[in-house]
Amino acid sequence: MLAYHCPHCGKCWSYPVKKCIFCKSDTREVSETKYTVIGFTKVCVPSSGNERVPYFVYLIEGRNGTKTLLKSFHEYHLGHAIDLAGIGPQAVPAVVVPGNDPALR
Amino acid sequence: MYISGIGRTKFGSLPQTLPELAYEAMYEAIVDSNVDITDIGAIFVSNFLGGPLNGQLHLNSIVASLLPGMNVPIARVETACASSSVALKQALYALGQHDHVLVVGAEKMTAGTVLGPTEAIAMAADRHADQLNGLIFPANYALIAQQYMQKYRIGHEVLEQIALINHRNARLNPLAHFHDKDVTLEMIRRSPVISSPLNLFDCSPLSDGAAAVVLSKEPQGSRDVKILSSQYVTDATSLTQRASLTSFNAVKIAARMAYAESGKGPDDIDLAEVHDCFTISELLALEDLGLCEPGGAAKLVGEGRILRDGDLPVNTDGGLKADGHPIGATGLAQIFEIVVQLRGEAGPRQVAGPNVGMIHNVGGIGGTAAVTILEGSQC
Repeated sequence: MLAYHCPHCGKCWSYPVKKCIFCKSDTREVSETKYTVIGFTKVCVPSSGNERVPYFVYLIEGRNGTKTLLKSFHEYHLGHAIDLAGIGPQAVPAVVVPGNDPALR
Repeated sequence: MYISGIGRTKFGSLPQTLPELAYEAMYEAIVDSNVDITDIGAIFVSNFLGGPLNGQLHLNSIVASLLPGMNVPIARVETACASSSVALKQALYALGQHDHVLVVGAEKMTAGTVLGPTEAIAMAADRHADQLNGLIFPANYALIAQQYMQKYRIGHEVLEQIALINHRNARLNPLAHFHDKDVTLEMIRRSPVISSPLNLFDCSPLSDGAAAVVLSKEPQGSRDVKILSSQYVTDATSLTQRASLTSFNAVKIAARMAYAESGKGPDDIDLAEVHDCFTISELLALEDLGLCEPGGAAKLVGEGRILRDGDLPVNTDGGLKADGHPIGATGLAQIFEIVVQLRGEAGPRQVAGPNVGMIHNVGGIGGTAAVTILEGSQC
């Protein structure tokens, strides 16, 4: 899971941004694989691409404050630890919540 | 700047096409005003799903075809469910150049011909972060509800009360989607789960409908309502990019700006229309608008203060929940209700002597937030 961080002004992006539009600095990639479930919902209505129901959508948070979503047919509880390194294709770009990651300040 | 005319259609599953709905609302607004259609200098059209649901974009030109020979500048505005309020703001800017501007919002959500409504509405969320992870629109608000219920230790019964209040208000609004439906607490409690913890009665319906307002630089009559402030701000729409899931920062900022410009504060608001696309969003709205403390909205609901005869009536038309949610028309329908109330023309649902009303209209999951404050001429 990658996020893009400006080391100069602290802005963060989920999209692959190479240059910071605020201070013109080069951004750097930040990766995280270990997340904790902080929220979830069990979706019971089918939609295109999600025909099989019910399924779960988990809001997960990384150790550095990144948040992302994960669709799964497995039931986890709040606080469950998930390592995205083994999940692969379901992973989406991570997002850093500014201020949550001491290493990025 | 003033609202000198209002109009809207009934909301619901309707036989009319998108242009027919838009025309009906525009006609009603012009008739309601003292302004001739040929005196309108510009038009803004609010619509969200004309492309994905109806296969119809370039709506400004479709509206032009409803007004033969006028050839005024017309533009379509799309900011998901907040399209109406953002169109209103653009129209207010345009009043710098014209004496009268028309805003019309229309949506045809039933009988879609291109995409299904679930897929189409999901377009209000971030495709990469949200949609591709199965986060359909109700699931966004389900995540918010879970966080809110956990943080403030409330149960689903608070959300059930909100649904019940809005459905009861809709019974007094002949134009509401669910005007004819007698909804009981038992029906709400037994309705199927859509995305836990939200069930069917936590969700606003798919509605067809249109609404329109005529804006004028100067008052045109004693029934005109003054626009004290109209503000909107934007934010990232994905919940993954939010520090808090129990409030919308964009709403807080828009409210702060609207209070500052209007010279009014939360204590001056006599009634409000809030964007209850899901019951949980009504709780967030009351708090983000500063109408109560964070975590205090459930108490406001429980004490009956948001009822028609309470000290802060909310969603007297039934709200999005029961009046309906034809997305492109929703914000203008909220304005319609506040104008009707400020004029004292709301009939059996009229609240006692309101002077100042507030409208809260949200696009996506707080990605666009608009706050409008209106004042009646009876002040």
